[in-house]
Amino acid sequence: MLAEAARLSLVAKLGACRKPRALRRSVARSSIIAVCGLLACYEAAAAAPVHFPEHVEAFTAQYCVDCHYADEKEGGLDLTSLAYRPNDPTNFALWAKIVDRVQKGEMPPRKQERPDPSDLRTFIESLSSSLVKADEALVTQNGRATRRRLNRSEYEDSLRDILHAPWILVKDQLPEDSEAFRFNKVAEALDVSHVHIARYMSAADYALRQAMTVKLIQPVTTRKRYYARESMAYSMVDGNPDRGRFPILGSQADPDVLLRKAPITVGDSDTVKREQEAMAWTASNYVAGFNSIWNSGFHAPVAGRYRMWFSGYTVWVGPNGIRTPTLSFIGKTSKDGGDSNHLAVVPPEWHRPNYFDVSRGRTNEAIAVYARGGASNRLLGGFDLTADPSTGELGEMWLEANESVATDATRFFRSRPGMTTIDSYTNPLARPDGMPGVAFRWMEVEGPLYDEKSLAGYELLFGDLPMKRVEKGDAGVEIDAVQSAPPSATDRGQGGGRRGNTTPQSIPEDASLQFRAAIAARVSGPGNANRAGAGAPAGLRPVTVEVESAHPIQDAERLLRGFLRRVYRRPVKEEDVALFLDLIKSRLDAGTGFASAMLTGYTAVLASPEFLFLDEKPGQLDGTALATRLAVFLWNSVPDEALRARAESGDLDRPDVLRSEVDRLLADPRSQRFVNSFLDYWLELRRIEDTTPSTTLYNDYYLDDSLVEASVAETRLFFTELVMRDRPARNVIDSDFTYVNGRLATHYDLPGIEGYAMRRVDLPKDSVRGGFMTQASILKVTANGTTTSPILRGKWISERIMGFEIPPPPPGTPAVEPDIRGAVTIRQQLDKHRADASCASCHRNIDPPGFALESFDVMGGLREKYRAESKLAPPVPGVGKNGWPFAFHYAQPVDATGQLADGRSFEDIRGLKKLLLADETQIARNLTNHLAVYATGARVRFSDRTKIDRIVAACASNHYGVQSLIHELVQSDLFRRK
Amino acid sequence: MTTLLKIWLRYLGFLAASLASAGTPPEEMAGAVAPVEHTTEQKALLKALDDQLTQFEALLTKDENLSHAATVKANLATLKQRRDAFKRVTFDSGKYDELRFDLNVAYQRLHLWLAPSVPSKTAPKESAQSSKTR
Repeated sequence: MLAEAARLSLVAKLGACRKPRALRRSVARSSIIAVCGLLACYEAAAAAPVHFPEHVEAFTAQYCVDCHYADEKEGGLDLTSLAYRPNDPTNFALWAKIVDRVQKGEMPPRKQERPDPSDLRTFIESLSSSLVKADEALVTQNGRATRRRLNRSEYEDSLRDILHAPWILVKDQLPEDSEAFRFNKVAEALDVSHVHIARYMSAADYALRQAMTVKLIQPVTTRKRYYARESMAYSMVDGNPDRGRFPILGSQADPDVLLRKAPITVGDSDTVKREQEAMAWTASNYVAGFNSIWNSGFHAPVAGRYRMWFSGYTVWVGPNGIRTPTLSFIGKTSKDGGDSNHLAVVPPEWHRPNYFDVSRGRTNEAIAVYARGGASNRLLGGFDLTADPSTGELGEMWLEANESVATDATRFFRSRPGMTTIDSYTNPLARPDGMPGVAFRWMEVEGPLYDEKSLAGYELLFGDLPMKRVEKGDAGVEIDAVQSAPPSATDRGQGGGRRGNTTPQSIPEDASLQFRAAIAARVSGPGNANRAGAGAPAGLRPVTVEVESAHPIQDAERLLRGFLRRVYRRPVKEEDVALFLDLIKSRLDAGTGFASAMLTGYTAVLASPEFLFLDEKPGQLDGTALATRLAVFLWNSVPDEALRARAESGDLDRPDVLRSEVDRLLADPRSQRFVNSFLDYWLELRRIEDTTPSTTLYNDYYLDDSLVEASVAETRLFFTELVMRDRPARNVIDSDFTYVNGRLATHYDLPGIEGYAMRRVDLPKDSVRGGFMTQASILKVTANGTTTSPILRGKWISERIMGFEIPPPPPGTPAVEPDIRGAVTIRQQLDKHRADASCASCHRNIDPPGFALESFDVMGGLREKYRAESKLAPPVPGVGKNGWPFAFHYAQPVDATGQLADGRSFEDIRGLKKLLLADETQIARNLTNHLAVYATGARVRFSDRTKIDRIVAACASNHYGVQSLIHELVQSDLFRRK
Repeated sequence: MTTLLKIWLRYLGFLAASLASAGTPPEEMAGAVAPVEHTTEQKALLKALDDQLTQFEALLTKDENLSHAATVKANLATLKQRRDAFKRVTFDSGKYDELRFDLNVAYQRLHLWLAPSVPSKTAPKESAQSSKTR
């Protein structure tokens, strides 16, 4: 089916499906000749030199050719032989670079004779205006933007909106998009191959089947309680109580259940006691929430919206827990000896939890909730627990079919096997008198939640036609649905641990209660009937369905017309319908069944050029193209009905209407896609997980998901405020507020802020935070997890925040690698590098902002000294988030002083920010440049600069408010013309 | 026949060696084994190991809990034995790293033990109620 749809889609793309083969060949041949002819003409036109603009030759002869002549060729440039051919892109770029460097005062070099200011002005004006004229001529002819496909994120969001299915996840099924001019929205980055088309089709096919599943399974909306004791197994992974979940009663131990003398729950026999029953834990594992998945209880029966509540509290778990040394790890037997058949009594260890010693909590703990389907987590939200039982509400969220949830106490350590034994980790929150724990009583789920749009996706595909299950092998479509299966051996009451159930041969006579409980946690039995008791786990299994149609041809045409009307961003033509209807008919004739035939047609539509490509004609955009550009800009998706109606009525051209539509789109929750997507590329937030903090230098950050999540949330919330409240662009550099939660506040050393929720806070006057540059997310994406480099950070800040392009290093330039042993600082290394005059010319511009940011480590923590790794130096005190001991020591002090290329000096990041804020216009110009590329899918050309300056100037009166910049951009020719 | 002779000769050689070493103190026996030569770098690493053990020992003096201190002391003694044994054999960097890791685990656990305890964030429910009553 997919292959057929692919064939048709490609044929449709060529627009030649009806022509006889000979005619197609002839057309192709003449097209090639025509294209070759055009290219030849273009080459000839581009090659033809044009007269130099007035004053240019005189200026270069007087000030430039002393260095840039045939023999010397300083910087590889010979101005004596350089012609002026602005129609040739390479030649154009060279002259544009010349005018830029002269304008910035970089050329002629300072040591040379300075040009007369009037000569300088005349040269710049003359050359610039000539270049602008040439550039504008090209733009008039072709437009700024090139035809491009939807990138994978736009495709996913478009499918979600069209099918009214916000849970659809297809982005990862599509090849990753490249980046050009910093964004994945520019044609140069969005290549197309048969692989792309095939993947787009399979993604579309998957999404369509998802929309059908919603119709097949429509569970009644209920609010159901899932008790923790029945949803999670009482277990002790690797025989270590740190890695266990254990039953407690209120804020006390529950010894009978611990020893399996009593069943895991009293169930309905004692409703009062049942409310007291809880499951507790004191640590997490490699994957957040690994120990605390509610998968024996809840699985989403169908993709959709749900609401959740969790009842829990914090506890204090006493010290002196014991472990059962039964596992060997990576070929090394535990020092305590033993294997799964030999259980020795191990002395209690003060830093391990004692399940028999539980009392009221002393701490509040932040809980993150993740959706868990396969192996990875998807963050849903969070809440806080206190010592008093409370109910945390998660609000409304969407889940994929069969997903369960995991609740993770974010502050707890993430136990990792150490170098020598599996259990050499230590809980960094442990104290001689115990450690914090969390306990959960139950979770409640309300859902699936329906509204008038819940079945809109199915109705778009099949209207009011009924769907029924059919036998496998019959004509129909296979869709995945959540179903129960007979319990398998592995489903039945396994106590946890990677080796599953290991029944001991003997328990020593003198074994303690804890030891016996440890054994109890490892074996299946009446007290651990969690999974077996709750029934077999559900899973996604294929079901064959068919849509019943009494008049397939008529229904197919009717449904196809409706689908095309919704999917195509322009009025539907008869030939569009005919093209895809032919395909559907051929599938019906082949006996695939109605549903399958329709899916083939729909898949072809969703992979056709009319949907997949953004097509604009040179000149002023018509209403449809303008609406599409606006929706793709602010929603990352296709226009909705209201926007299309505006476009079709011709109103959208009116500035006031366009303005009100921008306001409407920004006010819609879908505008969050713009914020996320823009930041993902402008500030590279998408790379936040690309690097992992070093396990030896930064194991206090390693596995700290809550810190990373909060840092991303901060940047997104901060930019959202800039946009929605029209905050001045200067906030990009510095601000008197930011967004933090408890974890991030601790990281930033902001006192008095606790809890999971992100909130807006005013920063102290002397704070180093404020603005993007000093946000943890930015400092993480500009570091490599082990070291920081002023060069990399300096280049990043120069280009993305300050708006100055840094040329790539000359070929063969060796990288400057920071010394992690701490003998020399990166600044000392760079001083040597900069001693070379040719290196210094670039590094003078690159390094200064990077030096100021040396005060921040790989995760944005403020530092005064570098961390270093050496076996010769004693480590600093501490235990990491992974439970491993700190192994680093503090080495050389950080020097964050610097001097900008223009000679202005700064002492630290605060000083740098002050210097950068002196030019607010440049900050706004840079932001507008980036917004323009993102919004129009085209680079900012030489001739666009004046337009950008006009946009910026129009917002000067309100200090370049970010929303104002967006409005002015949308109203400008940059946005409204191709 | 030849094989039998060889076995007898080997046995006699072993007997002679045993008789010759009889009465030699164990320390001298150990000294008889060729001393392990360490490079300058290895010597520095061994000194760092000694330094951390000394540092550990110093930290242990701050532990006023006699029972806990005794447990740690026993652990420290084991680590020292491992250090001594390590010094007698050819330097193995893998084993060295393992020993340093175990030493660091014990050392940082002691630091954690000596860290200030976590005060109760909220008063126990009973006292909260009684304060309300008052």
